[in-house]
Amino acid sequence: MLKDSKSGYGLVTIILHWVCAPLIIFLFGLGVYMRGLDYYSPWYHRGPELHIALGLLVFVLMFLRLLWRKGSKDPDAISTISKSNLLAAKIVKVLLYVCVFIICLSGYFITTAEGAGASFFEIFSVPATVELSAKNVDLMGAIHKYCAWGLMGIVILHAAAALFHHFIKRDKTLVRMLKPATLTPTDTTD
Amino acid sequence: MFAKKHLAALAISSIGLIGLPAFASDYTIDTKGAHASINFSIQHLGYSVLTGRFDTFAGDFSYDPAKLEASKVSVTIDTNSVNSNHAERDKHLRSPDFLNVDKFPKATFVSKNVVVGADKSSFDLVGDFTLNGVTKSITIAAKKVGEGKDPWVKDGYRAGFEGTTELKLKDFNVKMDLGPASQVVKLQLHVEGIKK
Repeated sequence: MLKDSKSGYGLVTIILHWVCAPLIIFLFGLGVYMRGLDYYSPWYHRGPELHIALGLLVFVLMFLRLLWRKGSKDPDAISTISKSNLLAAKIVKVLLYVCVFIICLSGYFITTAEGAGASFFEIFSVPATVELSAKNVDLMGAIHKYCAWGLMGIVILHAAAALFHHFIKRDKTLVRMLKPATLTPTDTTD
Repeated sequence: MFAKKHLAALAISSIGLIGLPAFASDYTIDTKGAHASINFSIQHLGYSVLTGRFDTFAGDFSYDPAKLEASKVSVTIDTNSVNSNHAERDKHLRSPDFLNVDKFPKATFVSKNVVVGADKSSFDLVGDFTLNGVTKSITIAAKKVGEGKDPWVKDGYRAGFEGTTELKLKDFNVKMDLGPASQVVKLQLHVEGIKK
Protein backbone atom coordinates (compact mmCIF):
# COMPACT_ATOMS: atom_id res chain seq x y z
CA MET A 1 0.00 0.00 0.00
CA LEU A 2 1.22 3.49 -0.84
CA LYS A 3 -0.52 5.36 1.93
CA ASP A 4 -0.13 5.08 5.67
CA SER A 5 -2.91 3.28 7.49
CA LYS A 6 -3.84 2.34 11.02
CA SER A 7 -1.88 -0.88 10.69
CA GLY A 8 1.39 0.74 9.60
CA TYR A 9 3.32 2.95 7.19
CA GLY A 10 2.81 2.93 3.45
CA LEU A 11 5.45 2.71 0.74
CA VAL A 12 5.70 6.50 0.20
CA THR A 13 6.50 7.19 3.85
CA ILE A 14 9.01 4.35 3.94
CA ILE A 15 10.82 5.38 0.76
CA LEU A 16 10.96 9.04 1.81
CA HIS A 17 12.33 8.01 5.21
CA TRP A 18 15.08 5.84 3.75
CA VAL A 19 16.05 8.38 1.10
CA CYS A 20 16.27 11.24 3.60
CA ALA A 21 18.05 9.38 6.39
CA PRO A 22 21.27 8.47 4.52
CA LEU A 23 21.19 11.77 2.62
CA ILE A 24 21.09 13.79 5.84
CA ILE A 25 23.86 11.75 7.46
CA PHE A 26 25.96 12.05 4.28
CA LEU A 27 25.41 15.83 4.26
CA PHE A 28 26.62 16.04 7.84
CA GLY A 29 29.77 14.10 7.00
CA LEU A 30 30.35 16.14 3.86
CA GLY A 31 29.88 19.36 5.84
CA VAL A 32 32.48 18.40 8.42
CA TYR A 33 34.86 17.07 5.74
CA MET A 34 34.69 20.05 3.39
CA ARG A 35 35.42 22.58 6.13
CA GLY A 36 38.78 20.98 6.76
CA LEU A 37 39.90 20.79 3.14
CA ASP A 38 43.15 22.19 1.85
CA TYR A 39 42.74 25.04 -0.65
CA TYR A 40 44.20 22.90 -3.43
CA SER A 41 41.99 19.87 -2.78
CA PRO A 42 39.81 18.82 -5.77
CA TRP A 43 36.88 18.87 -3.33
CA TYR A 44 37.46 22.47 -2.19
CA HIS A 45 34.72 23.73 -4.54
CA ARG A 46 33.01 20.45 -5.43
CA GLY A 47 32.25 19.72 -1.77
CA PRO A 48 30.28 22.90 -1.03
CA GLU A 49 28.49 22.71 -4.41
CA LEU A 50 27.33 19.17 -3.68
CA HIS A 51 26.45 20.14 -0.10
CA ILE A 52 24.24 23.01 -1.27
CA ALA A 53 22.52 20.97 -4.01
CA LEU A 54 21.78 18.00 -1.74
CA GLY A 55 20.72 20.40 1.01
CA LEU A 56 18.08 21.83 -1.33
CA LEU A 57 16.98 18.29 -2.17
CA VAL A 58 16.65 17.40 1.53
CA PHE A 59 14.57 20.52 2.11
CA VAL A 60 12.15 19.56 -0.67
CA LEU A 61 11.94 15.93 0.44
CA MET A 62 11.41 16.86 4.08
CA PHE A 63 8.74 19.34 3.06
CA LEU A 64 7.00 16.60 1.07
CA ARG A 65 7.29 14.27 4.04
CA LEU A 66 5.67 16.86 6.26
CA LEU A 67 2.81 17.33 3.80
CA TRP A 68 2.40 13.59 3.31
CA ARG A 69 2.40 13.06 7.04
CA LYS A 70 -0.22 15.76 7.62
CA GLY A 71 -2.41 14.17 4.98
CA SER A 72 -1.99 10.63 6.26
CA LYS A 73 -3.45 8.58 9.06
CA ASP A 74 -1.12 7.94 11.97
CA PRO A 75 -0.59 4.22 12.40
CA ASP A 76 -1.86 2.86 15.70
CA ALA A 77 0.72 2.75 18.43
CA ILE A 78 2.23 -0.63 19.17
CA SER A 79 0.34 -1.80 22.25
CA THR A 80 3.37 -3.06 24.16
CA ILE A 81 5.08 0.38 24.17
CA SER A 82 4.49 2.58 27.19
CA LYS A 83 2.90 5.99 26.90
CA SER A 84 6.08 7.75 28.08
CA ASN A 85 8.14 5.94 25.44
CA LEU A 86 5.65 6.90 22.75
CA LEU A 87 5.86 10.50 23.89
CA ALA A 88 9.66 10.39 23.85
CA ALA A 89 9.61 8.95 20.33
CA LYS A 90 7.24 11.67 19.22
CA ILE A 91 9.40 14.43 20.69
CA VAL A 92 12.47 12.96 18.98
CA LYS A 93 10.63 12.90 15.64
CA VAL A 94 9.51 16.51 16.01
CA LEU A 95 13.07 17.54 16.87
CA LEU A 96 14.38 15.68 13.82
CA TYR A 97 12.09 17.68 11.57
CA VAL A 98 12.71 21.00 13.35
CA CYS A 99 16.50 20.57 13.24
CA VAL A 100 16.52 19.61 9.58
CA PHE A 101 14.45 22.64 8.62
CA ILE A 102 16.56 25.01 10.72
CA ILE A 103 19.72 23.59 9.14
CA CYS A 104 18.28 23.87 5.61
CA LEU A 105 17.17 27.46 6.12
CA SER A 106 20.35 28.65 7.84
CA GLY A 107 22.39 27.02 5.06
CA TYR A 108 20.29 28.78 2.44
CA PHE A 109 20.77 32.12 4.24
CA ILE A 110 24.55 31.66 4.36
CA THR A 111 24.81 30.86 0.66
CA THR A 112 22.48 33.63 -0.48
CA ALA A 113 23.65 36.29 2.00
CA GLU A 114 25.17 38.51 -0.68
CA GLY A 115 22.48 38.09 -3.29
CA ALA A 116 23.72 35.06 -5.23
CA GLY A 117 21.28 32.15 -5.49
CA ALA A 118 21.67 28.63 -4.11
CA SER A 119 22.49 26.47 -7.10
CA PHE A 120 21.15 22.96 -7.67
CA PHE A 121 23.93 21.38 -9.78
CA GLU A 122 23.76 24.43 -12.05
CA ILE A 123 20.41 23.16 -13.34
CA PHE A 124 18.51 25.84 -11.51
CA SER A 125 19.18 28.26 -8.72
CA VAL A 126 17.00 29.25 -5.78
CA PRO A 127 17.26 33.03 -5.64
CA ALA A 128 18.21 35.02 -2.57
CA THR A 129 15.41 36.60 -0.55
CA VAL A 130 17.20 38.59 2.13
CA GLU A 131 20.74 39.87 2.25
CA LEU A 132 22.31 39.48 5.66
CA SER A 133 24.95 41.47 7.46
CA ALA A 134 28.28 39.81 8.21
CA LYS A 135 27.33 39.28 11.86
CA ASN A 136 24.06 37.63 10.95
CA VAL A 137 25.70 35.37 8.37
CA ASP A 138 28.17 34.22 10.99
CA LEU A 139 25.28 33.67 13.41
CA MET A 140 23.55 31.54 10.75
CA GLY A 141 26.82 29.63 10.40
CA ALA A 142 26.90 28.88 14.11
CA ILE A 143 23.24 27.82 14.11
CA HIS A 144 23.88 25.60 11.05
CA LYS A 145 26.82 23.91 12.73
CA TYR A 146 25.40 23.37 16.22
CA CYS A 147 22.02 22.23 14.95
CA ALA A 148 23.78 19.74 12.68
CA TRP A 149 25.73 18.26 15.60
CA GLY A 150 22.55 18.31 17.70
CA LEU A 151 20.68 16.57 14.89
CA MET A 152 23.27 13.79 14.78
CA GLY A 153 22.77 13.28 18.52
CA ILE A 154 19.02 12.97 17.98
CA VAL A 155 19.59 10.64 15.01
CA ILE A 156 21.63 8.37 17.23
CA LEU A 157 18.85 8.33 19.84
CA HIS A 158 16.25 7.62 17.14
CA ALA A 159 18.30 4.81 15.57
CA ALA A 160 19.29 3.32 18.93
CA ALA A 161 15.64 3.25 19.97
CA ALA A 162 14.67 1.52 16.72
CA LEU A 163 17.37 -1.14 17.23
CA PHE A 164 16.44 -1.53 20.89
CA HIS A 165 12.82 -2.20 19.96
CA HIS A 166 13.85 -4.62 17.22
CA PHE A 167 16.47 -6.70 19.01
CA ILE A 168 15.65 -6.36 22.71
CA LYS A 169 11.92 -5.71 22.91
CA ARG A 170 11.37 -7.65 19.68
CA ASP A 171 8.39 -5.55 18.59
CA LYS A 172 7.46 -4.29 15.12
CA THR A 173 8.80 -0.70 15.46
CA LEU A 174 11.63 -1.10 12.93
CA VAL A 175 9.83 -3.58 10.70
CA ARG A 176 6.98 -1.09 10.30
CA MET A 177 9.44 1.36 8.71
CA LEU A 178 10.81 -1.35 6.37
CA LYS A 179 7.75 -3.23 5.19
CA PRO A 180 4.66 -1.39 3.91
CA ALA A 181 1.48 -2.25 5.79
CA THR A 182 -1.09 -4.42 4.10
CA LEU A 183 -4.72 -3.53 4.34
CA THR A 184 -6.47 -4.96 7.38
CA PRO A 185 -10.20 -4.99 8.16
CA THR A 186 -9.70 -2.17 10.69
CA ASP A 187 -8.73 0.22 7.91
CA THR A 188 -11.36 2.10 6.08
CA THR A 189 -10.93 2.16 2.35
CA ASP A 190 -10.33 5.84 1.64
CA MET B 1 62.59 100.47 -0.38
CA PHE B 2 64.62 97.69 -1.84
CA ALA B 3 65.82 96.62 1.58
CA LYS B 4 62.30 96.71 2.97
CA LYS B 5 61.07 94.39 0.25
CA HIS B 6 63.87 92.00 1.04
CA LEU B 7 63.07 92.11 4.68
CA ALA B 8 59.43 91.33 4.03
CA ALA B 9 60.37 88.41 1.79
CA LEU B 10 62.74 87.14 4.44
CA ALA B 11 60.06 87.43 7.08
CA ILE B 12 57.55 85.50 4.97
CA SER B 13 59.99 82.77 4.04
CA SER B 14 61.12 82.38 7.65
CA ILE B 15 57.54 81.58 8.61
CA GLY B 16 57.79 78.72 6.18
CA LEU B 17 61.06 77.63 7.76
CA ILE B 18 59.71 77.67 11.28
CA GLY B 19 56.69 75.80 9.95
CA LEU B 20 54.12 77.00 12.42
CA PRO B 21 51.91 74.06 13.38
CA ALA B 22 48.89 76.32 13.10
CA PHE B 23 49.03 75.80 9.33
CA ALA B 24 48.40 72.06 9.61
CA SER B 25 44.72 71.29 9.26
CA ASP B 26 42.77 68.34 10.52
CA TYR B 27 40.64 66.38 8.10
CA THR B 28 38.00 63.71 8.52
CA ILE B 29 38.17 60.97 5.93
CA ASP B 30 34.95 61.18 3.93
CA THR B 31 33.62 57.68 4.46
CA LYS B 32 30.10 59.05 4.86
CA GLY B 33 30.08 60.26 1.28
CA ALA B 34 32.11 57.16 0.30
CA HIS B 35 34.93 59.24 -1.15
CA ALA B 36 37.39 56.84 0.34
CA SER B 37 38.08 53.16 -0.08
CA ILE B 38 40.34 50.46 1.25
CA ASN B 39 40.78 47.87 -1.47
CA PHE B 40 42.87 44.76 -1.47
CA SER B 41 44.09 42.44 -4.18
CA ILE B 42 45.80 39.11 -4.11
CA GLN B 43 46.92 36.63 -6.71
CA HIS B 44 44.54 33.73 -7.26
CA LEU B 45 46.60 30.58 -7.87
CA GLY B 46 49.07 32.77 -9.71
CA TYR B 47 46.64 32.89 -12.66
CA SER B 48 44.73 36.08 -11.97
CA VAL B 49 44.08 38.76 -9.38
CA LEU B 50 41.23 38.74 -6.92
CA THR B 51 40.09 42.04 -5.48
CA GLY B 52 37.98 42.99 -2.51
CA ARG B 53 37.57 45.78 -0.03
CA PHE B 54 36.64 46.77 3.49
CA ASP B 55 33.26 48.45 3.36
CA THR B 56 33.40 50.07 6.79
CA PHE B 57 36.19 52.17 8.24
CA ALA B 58 36.79 55.61 9.68
CA GLY B 59 39.74 57.87 10.13
CA ASP B 60 41.26 61.30 10.08
CA PHE B 61 44.47 62.96 9.16
CA SER B 62 46.29 66.18 9.70
CA TYR B 63 48.01 67.70 6.73
CA ASP B 64 49.97 70.84 5.98
CA PRO B 65 50.97 71.24 2.33
CA ALA B 66 54.01 73.26 3.41
CA LYS B 67 55.11 70.66 5.89
CA LEU B 68 54.21 67.29 4.48
CA GLU B 69 56.58 65.47 6.84
CA ALA B 70 54.46 66.55 9.81
CA SER B 71 51.35 64.83 8.45
CA LYS B 72 49.54 62.32 10.63
CA VAL B 73 47.00 59.66 9.74
CA SER B 74 44.95 57.27 11.76
CA VAL B 75 42.40 54.82 10.40
CA THR B 76 40.26 52.13 12.02
CA ILE B 77 38.84 49.35 9.89
CA ASP B 78 35.86 47.18 10.81
CA THR B 79 37.22 43.77 9.78
CA ASN B 80 33.66 42.40 9.72
CA SER B 81 33.10 44.49 6.62
CA VAL B 82 35.50 42.52 4.42
CA ASN B 83 33.77 42.13 1.06
CA SER B 84 34.94 40.11 -1.92
CA ASN B 85 31.47 39.85 -3.46
CA HIS B 86 31.06 36.16 -2.54
CA ALA B 87 29.05 35.21 0.57
CA GLU B 88 30.84 31.97 1.48
CA ARG B 89 34.29 33.38 0.78
CA ASP B 90 33.57 36.45 2.91
CA LYS B 91 32.37 34.19 5.71
CA HIS B 92 35.62 32.28 5.36
CA LEU B 93 37.65 35.51 5.36
CA ARG B 94 36.00 36.49 8.65
CA SER B 95 36.76 33.10 10.22
CA PRO B 96 39.86 32.19 12.28
CA ASP B 97 41.43 30.90 9.04
CA PHE B 98 41.94 34.52 7.97
CA LEU B 99 40.91 37.65 9.88
CA ASN B 100 39.47 36.16 13.04
CA VAL B 101 36.95 38.99 13.28
CA ASP B 102 35.22 37.68 16.41
CA LYS B 103 38.44 38.09 18.32
CA PHE B 104 39.84 41.04 16.37
CA PRO B 105 36.94 43.14 15.06
CA LYS B 106 39.18 46.13 14.38
CA ALA B 107 42.28 46.73 12.31
CA THR B 108 44.08 50.02 12.83
CA PHE B 109 46.73 52.10 11.17
CA VAL B 110 48.49 54.87 13.06
CA SER B 111 51.21 56.80 11.26
CA LYS B 112 54.57 57.34 12.94
CA ASN B 113 56.48 59.40 10.46
CA VAL B 114 56.45 60.66 6.92
CA VAL B 115 59.39 60.53 4.54
CA VAL B 116 58.87 63.02 1.74
CA GLY B 117 60.09 61.97 -1.68
CA ALA B 118 62.41 63.93 -3.97
CA ASP B 119 59.47 65.24 -6.00
CA LYS B 120 58.01 66.82 -2.83
CA SER B 121 54.55 65.41 -3.53
CA SER B 122 54.97 61.67 -3.09
CA PHE B 123 55.86 60.39 0.34
CA ASP B 124 56.33 57.26 2.38
CA LEU B 125 53.87 56.97 5.21
CA VAL B 126 55.40 54.81 7.93
CA GLY B 127 53.19 53.57 10.73
CA ASP B 128 51.90 50.75 12.86
CA PHE B 129 49.33 48.50 11.29
CA THR B 130 47.38 46.17 13.55
CA LEU B 131 45.54 43.28 11.94
CA ASN B 132 44.45 39.95 13.37
CA GLY B 133 45.98 41.00 16.70
CA VAL B 134 49.44 41.54 15.20
CA THR B 135 51.04 45.00 15.09
CA LYS B 136 53.74 45.62 12.54
CA SER B 137 55.38 48.67 11.07
CA ILE B 138 54.39 49.11 7.43
CA THR B 139 55.23 51.67 4.79
CA ILE B 140 52.56 53.08 2.51
CA ALA B 141 53.81 54.65 -0.69
CA ALA B 142 51.49 57.63 -1.01
CA LYS B 143 50.93 60.77 -2.98
CA LYS B 144 48.54 63.63 -3.04
CA VAL B 145 45.87 63.50 -5.73
CA GLY B 146 44.52 67.00 -5.28
CA GLU B 147 43.04 69.55 -2.93
CA GLY B 148 40.82 72.57 -3.05
CA LYS B 149 37.61 74.28 -2.15
CA ASP B 150 34.61 72.19 -1.18
CA PRO B 151 31.95 73.09 -3.78
CA TRP B 152 29.08 72.25 -1.42
CA VAL B 153 30.18 73.75 1.87
CA LYS B 154 30.96 77.43 2.43
CA ASP B 155 34.60 77.79 3.43
CA GLY B 156 34.89 74.02 3.16
CA TYR B 157 38.07 72.40 1.91
CA ARG B 158 38.96 68.94 0.71
CA ALA B 159 42.24 67.13 0.15
CA GLY B 160 42.76 63.64 -1.25
CA PHE B 161 45.51 61.08 -1.33
CA GLU B 162 46.19 57.63 -2.63
CA GLY B 163 48.59 55.00 -1.48
CA THR B 164 49.63 51.40 -1.83
CA THR B 165 51.32 48.89 0.38
CA GLU B 166 51.91 45.17 0.58
CA LEU B 167 51.41 42.81 3.47
CA LYS B 168 52.67 39.28 3.89
CA LEU B 169 49.74 37.22 5.15
CA LYS B 170 52.05 35.16 7.35
CA ASP B 171 53.30 38.34 9.07
CA PHE B 172 49.79 38.88 10.37
CA ASN B 173 49.24 35.30 11.50
CA VAL B 174 46.84 34.39 8.70
CA LYS B 175 46.51 30.64 9.12
CA MET B 176 45.18 29.73 5.70
CA ASP B 177 47.81 29.09 3.05
CA LEU B 178 46.56 30.02 -0.41
CA GLY B 179 49.63 28.73 -2.20
CA PRO B 180 53.01 30.12 -3.21
CA ALA B 181 51.65 32.81 -5.54
CA SER B 182 49.29 34.18 -2.91
CA GLN B 183 51.47 34.99 0.08
CA VAL B 184 51.24 38.76 -0.29
CA VAL B 185 48.16 40.95 -0.35
CA LYS B 186 48.31 44.42 -1.87
CA LEU B 187 46.34 47.28 -0.42
CA GLN B 188 45.13 50.19 -2.51
CA LEU B 189 44.01 53.14 -0.46
CA HIS B 190 42.06 56.16 -1.63
CA VAL B 191 41.10 58.83 0.84
CA GLU B 192 39.46 62.17 0.57
CA GLY B 193 39.46 64.31 3.68
CA ILE B 194 37.06 67.06 4.62
CA LYS B 195 38.68 69.83 6.62
CA LYS B 196 37.31 69.95 10.15
